[in-house]
Amino acid sequence: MRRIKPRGFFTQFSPEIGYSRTFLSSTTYIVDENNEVHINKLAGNDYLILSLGVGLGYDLEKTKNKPFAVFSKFNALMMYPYNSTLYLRSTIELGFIYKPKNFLRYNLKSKIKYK
Amino acid sequence: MKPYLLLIISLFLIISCQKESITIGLNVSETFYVQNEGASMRMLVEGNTKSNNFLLFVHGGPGTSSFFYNTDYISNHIEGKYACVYWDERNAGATQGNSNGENLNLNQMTEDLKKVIIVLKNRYGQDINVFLLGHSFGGLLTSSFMTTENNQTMLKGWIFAAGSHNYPLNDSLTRLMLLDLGLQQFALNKNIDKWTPIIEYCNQHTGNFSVEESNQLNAYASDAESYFDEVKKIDLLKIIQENAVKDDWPLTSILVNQRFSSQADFNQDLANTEFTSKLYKVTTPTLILFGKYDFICPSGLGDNLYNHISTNEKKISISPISGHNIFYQDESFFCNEVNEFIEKYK
Repeated sequence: MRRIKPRGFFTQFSPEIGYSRTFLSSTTYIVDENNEVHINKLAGNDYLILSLGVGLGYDLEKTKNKPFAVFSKFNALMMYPYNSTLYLRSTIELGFIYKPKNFLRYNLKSKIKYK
Repeated sequence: MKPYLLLIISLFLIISCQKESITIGLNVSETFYVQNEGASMRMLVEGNTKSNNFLLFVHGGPGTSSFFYNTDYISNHIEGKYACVYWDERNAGATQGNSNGENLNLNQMTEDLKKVIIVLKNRYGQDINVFLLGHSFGGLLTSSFMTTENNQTMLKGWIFAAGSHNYPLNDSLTRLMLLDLGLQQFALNKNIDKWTPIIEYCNQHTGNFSVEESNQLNAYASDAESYFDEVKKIDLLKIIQENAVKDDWPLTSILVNQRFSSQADFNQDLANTEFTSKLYKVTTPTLILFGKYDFICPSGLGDNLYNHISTNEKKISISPISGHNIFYQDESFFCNEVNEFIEKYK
């Protein structure tokens, strides 16, 4: 959710839900029932992510007619289930948005019939 | 095409990170994971892997972390001679997993420990000498390991540092020590206000302790050692400030894991767990270390262990200035004893 002021300043609030797949950063071993050791490639975990973010930004398109915006955002992330409990972490985003002129712009074609 | 290319490059990078890399050298530092029954347990190996001697730390808690044992003093006085292995148990430290709480029990952790040693030998050679060091709850876990099947044949030696192998006995000894030393301090007119509630509690609760009573005794025990001037005080915040950033401690993970494990149901089972009756099975050389002012795991536990293991290759040593955290409170005593033991039995 973003509120943009006429002068280009904006605030944003973003509740998010998502899926996270982590990958362990080092070799991961598994020992089977015969005590033989194997390497588990792509080892990691799947988590449900809930996130709340608040941020501030400035949209240059409003006043300077440039297709850019800059923003900063603070997110509180909650990963579940992390060892049967919740794992909390925070992130800070510093962002730059470029909005190409015709990107995702839909040209509406309509036919009007007069009777 | 470009998104697919990006995906392929990302996968390649992830796989590269997980590629096996083993270093045999004098000043090694490498991390890997051992995955078992829903837990990916983090292992950090530091020091001299060329020596062929590996000292495996089994931390306390349950639910603290091996990060706390990786001190500068140990790095400077043990890692130069031997390799130190810092293992984060399941639901502890930097160990990861999903819904694995039902696997948090002593039998599962004993199996985890066995697999950790199998992986160590697989990585560094079947002929390496492994020494097992259990501290506090790690003493209970290593007691379980040492008395299960023929596990002890995987080891060259067992170091029991301020550990507990018998929780009911532990509670009784803690109560007695609080009462004895408390009354002595009372007679000396020292810290009267602090000792009074402790002595009253010990007089009211005399045995057959519930989990709540056991926790209360443990809390008093934790405070009691700080009432003696000769015992080095531990400032946990200072330890975190000095090491957390330098050594990349995953503080949030340590905190949430510690909170979960310390409140987990299996703590109720531990309250009645003892290994005194099984210690006759132990024939491996054993070093027993305690602090004179350790109220949490009193040195009487060491005497009990010493008297029940079957090996003749055994030694008990008491630090005159340490409380429960012997590797912080009497660092030179701890490292000298450990080094001497490994040197003798490697």
